[in-house]
Amino acid sequence: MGDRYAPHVAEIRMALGDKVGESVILEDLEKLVKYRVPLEEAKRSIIKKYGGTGSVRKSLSELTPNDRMLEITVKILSVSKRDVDVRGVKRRILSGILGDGTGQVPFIAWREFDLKKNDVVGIKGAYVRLWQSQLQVNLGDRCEITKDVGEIPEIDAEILPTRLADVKAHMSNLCVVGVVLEARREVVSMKDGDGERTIIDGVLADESGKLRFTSWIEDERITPRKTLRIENVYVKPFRGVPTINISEEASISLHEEEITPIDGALHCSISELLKRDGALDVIVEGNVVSVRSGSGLIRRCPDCSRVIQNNTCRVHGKVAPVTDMRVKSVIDDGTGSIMLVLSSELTETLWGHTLREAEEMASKRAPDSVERDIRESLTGKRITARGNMNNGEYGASLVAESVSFVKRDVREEAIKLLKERGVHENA
Amino acid sequence: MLDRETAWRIFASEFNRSDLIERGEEKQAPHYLITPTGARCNRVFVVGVITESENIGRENDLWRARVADPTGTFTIYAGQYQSEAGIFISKAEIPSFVAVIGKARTYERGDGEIQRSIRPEELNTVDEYTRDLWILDTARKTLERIDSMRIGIKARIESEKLAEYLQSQKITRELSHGISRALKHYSEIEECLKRLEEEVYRAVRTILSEEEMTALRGEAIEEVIEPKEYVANVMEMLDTGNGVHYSDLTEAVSQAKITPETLETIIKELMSEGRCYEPTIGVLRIV
Repeated sequence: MGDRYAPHVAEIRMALGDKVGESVILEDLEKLVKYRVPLEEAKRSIIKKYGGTGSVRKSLSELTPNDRMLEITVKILSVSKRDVDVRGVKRRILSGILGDGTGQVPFIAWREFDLKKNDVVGIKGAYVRLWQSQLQVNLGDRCEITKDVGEIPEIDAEILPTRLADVKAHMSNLCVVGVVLEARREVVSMKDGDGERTIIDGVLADESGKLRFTSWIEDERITPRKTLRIENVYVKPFRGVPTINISEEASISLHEEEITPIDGALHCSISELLKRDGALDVIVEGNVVSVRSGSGLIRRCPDCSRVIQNNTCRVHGKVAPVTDMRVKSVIDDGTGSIMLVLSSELTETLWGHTLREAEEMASKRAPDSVERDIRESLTGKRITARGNMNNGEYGASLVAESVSFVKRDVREEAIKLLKERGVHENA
Repeated sequence: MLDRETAWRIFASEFNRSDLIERGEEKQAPHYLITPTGARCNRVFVVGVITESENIGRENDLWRARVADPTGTFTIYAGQYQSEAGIFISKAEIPSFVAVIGKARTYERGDGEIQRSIRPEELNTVDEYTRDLWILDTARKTLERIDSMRIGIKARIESEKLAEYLQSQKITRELSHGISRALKHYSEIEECLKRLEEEVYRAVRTILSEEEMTALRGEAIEEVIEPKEYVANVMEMLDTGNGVHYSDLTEAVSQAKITPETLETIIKELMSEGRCYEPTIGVLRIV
């Protein structure tokens, strides 16, 4: 029986520095296991009982979301201060990125530890949690930090940039490298009468994709065609698409190496697209597999544009409705499916009838005849749509900026396929 | 939000060869049909020709239709809960091109024989062009699955670990799972894949007219009338400045039915004529 636990007992003894005998540990462990305490928890509680710290030494690549009492030696790749409200108490916290030879992970320190950029420190008692599906090292009140770490291991000093395709909503302390495609400066007045301020809205691109950014600081280098490396940015969704935010905490530098931003829109399969939290300017091709009810003629509130029923807006009450036309459909390319929403103008492009014609049709025939006619003209057809994708709690949807039926030479493609497979000369 | 099941593109001949069913443990769990190429499908998308329709219901309407693609026929059943689809089938012009989006259903007869059908969610009349696009799309996706199956066969890895291996070969998680199940279940799989592959090519050829097929065959024959000149041309085409690897050349000319032995003879001839040389072993350059 004891054999089963031998490795765990050895591990506990190691953590306690041979203070406690093997048989005592085994007895405790067996008892806890009998009570169906999970093994990891049992080990931790025994170590604690006998006064061990139970810290586990790991490298950053070995971290898992439930690590407790962690011991790491790392370099502070970036750090910034922030004032937050923790249960009604103002607190100054630190956040940034830690790195060692194996990887880099964002961290948050709940106390104002003395940490500076490029410090190499030993940290004991840290814990890990998942924050917005990203691993994050947490330094709590009981955490010990030592600046004297003896022999400093070779530590990769560079912060690795995140590919724009991998940027997810709510990430923070991120480093990105990209080419500025657009930058518009705009003067806005601050909320609390704090005067005016120039912000820059634009688009950043790398080889994996494009994203919108907002810079809250003026920096002359943020101008089209410049390749920038921007450290310590944070991400917020804007209309469902992740948007990079550049604040005072960010540091901008010109990037030496040349990068080739994607040319035009990103062509991708729907399954690839669904891995993202959102994307700017993508093209997908697929078959319309469903035209949803709520397509066709709709009525909107004149004040807020919400779709309304019985001329009553749920915010503005009784209103004089504005008639509009749209398509809510699902397209599927055999790898996945996504909701595709078409405006009145794009509905007209695909369906071939104007809003006025739709209104005529509805008054002459049944009110749902427009929806039915749209369904008959689109279901099963192969279409290409270009637009922005957002992937929120209601699922993924593409708001199209342009759309068309696929027009390709099927004969040419058939010949190409047969040639590719080397079977074109067989009868 | 629950993920919507993807609509798989599968030819009728493959669909009708499928007899591996996967049901979830829970009551409402979806039901999947795993095909011989590892497509694990709950929903399918088909474009074909409706060739028959009949109401076979007794008390309630039960419409049955047959929809043909170039490889075989799908059976479609629309019962009382698919009344829109039933109306569509009852009014459909025969023959005409139709698009079907629906759920793959199976039914086990008394003698153990499995019947497959589609329960339609959407039915619509489409044009010939949409049908041709579907054939091309389905052909590409089926060939991709056949190739992936062959990677799975070649790997000779036990089925528990196969899915993981296939994912490391850039095959999607869904297909990897389907392939590991299909390989365990279907017997004589290699012959089956070979037949399916042939059927895919036949389906693609139906897009082409007789003249186009003749032209295609002619073109292919013309290419190898002068094997030596053909090889020299390919060598020149493949050379982007650093010469051509022998293996790349072998592969390129194999499509013109030039065997590695013939190729070796031709290269020797070209060398003796001083038209090409071998700067490093295994690399060739045209003079």
